[in-house]
Amino acid sequence: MSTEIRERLIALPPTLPDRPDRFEVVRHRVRRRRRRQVAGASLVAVVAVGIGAPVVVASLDDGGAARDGGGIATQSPTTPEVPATPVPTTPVPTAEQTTTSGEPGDDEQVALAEIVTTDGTGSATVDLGDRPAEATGVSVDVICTGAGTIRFTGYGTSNSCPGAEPERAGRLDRFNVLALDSGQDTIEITARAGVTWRVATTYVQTVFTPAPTNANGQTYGNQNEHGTPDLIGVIASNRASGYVYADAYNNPPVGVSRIPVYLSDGLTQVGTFKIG
Amino acid sequence: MVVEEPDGFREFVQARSPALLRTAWMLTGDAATAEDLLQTALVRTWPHWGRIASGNPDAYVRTAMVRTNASWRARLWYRERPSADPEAGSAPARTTDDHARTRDRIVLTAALATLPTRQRQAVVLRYFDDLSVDEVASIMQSSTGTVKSQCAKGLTKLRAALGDATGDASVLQEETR
Repeated sequence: MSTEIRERLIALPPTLPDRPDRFEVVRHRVRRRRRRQVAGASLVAVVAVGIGAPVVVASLDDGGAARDGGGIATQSPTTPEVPATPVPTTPVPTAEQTTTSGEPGDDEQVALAEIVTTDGTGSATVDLGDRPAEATGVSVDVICTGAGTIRFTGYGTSNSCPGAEPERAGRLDRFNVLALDSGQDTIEITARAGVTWRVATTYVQTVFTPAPTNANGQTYGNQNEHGTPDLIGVIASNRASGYVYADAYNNPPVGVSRIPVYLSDGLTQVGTFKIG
Repeated sequence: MVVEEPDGFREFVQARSPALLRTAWMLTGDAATAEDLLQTALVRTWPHWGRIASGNPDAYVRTAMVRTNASWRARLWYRERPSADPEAGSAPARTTDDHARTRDRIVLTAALATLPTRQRQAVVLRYFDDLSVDEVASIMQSSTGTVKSQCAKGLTKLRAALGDATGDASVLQEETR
């Protein structure tokens, strides 16, 4: 029987497009990665030298993205995407500091700077602006200005837009939070030539809040890199929000297709969740 | 900045990318994400090529893909919770062999996507890439017992999705190489 499953798995992937320029793309990313590493190491050296005196953190020229804002394409000889047209960034002041409250047991993302909006076309580098020292990531909100898919290179995430959407206020409404490497102050967007996009970004600091416990001493929240709570948050088949027991979710008994969904007390059932 | 090209790395990328891209697709379920995963792994392999070229570079790239895949799942923070779609898993009635095969592919793809990350990685490496338990354990930085357990649980779910009746005992008995 394992042979049959194996044969089915082997036949599963669709015909995947080959990229004749893959090696060139990889070399370009290697070059960019090393520029960031050099910039980060140099920044550390500048700060170390400045201890005990007024610290001046130089705005380092990494030889790539300019600092006058806008999405700027990173070019390689065989990259099919056309250069993005730099568009001045538009700071959108917020009336109060934006804080995105995490789910119980999740990280809370505390905004550290004003939201910066960048428009671009095709693949480009987005300059995030001067990075606060305590920033651990960047919150990125995609505002659809046309149809197409944009991907955040190196993060395994993307956003698809069916078309342009009405103007939204400069708030973080539908977003991803991307962790940043040391010294990283840009992100790369990959998109087909001609696909327009707008992203609103702001540096954030990740603050972890431990998962709460209910009256029975069970933790409840989301399963993430911090661990697995006793009760994992889900959306039930009837669209109710609730929690399922972690063991039932991760290791369901053979033949079980639905597991109960409870409130955070782990006792009051509000629906069921289809698994497997 | 000039980046020196490691000897033989271009040829390796050109020759092995198709197979490694298929593995990346099995880990991610999406063609574009799979391409990004493969490129990221190759970027991380580049500086170590001189050391691994004479060994098993395929294993190195697979290891990089598995760890990057796990890291991506851990690094992304988004407000979505697993959602039980009441329509998910419902299949059309079998009418012809073609419909049956298409249905099985859809069901298997959906079932693979519901596996926890570690189970999916174990199943893909063990049964798609046909690696030994020891090789999978090395890539996933797990014990062989954990690999066997993850494979058994993953296969059970896949079989349940496909409507097979084989239980866990026979799977565990097969895990000897």
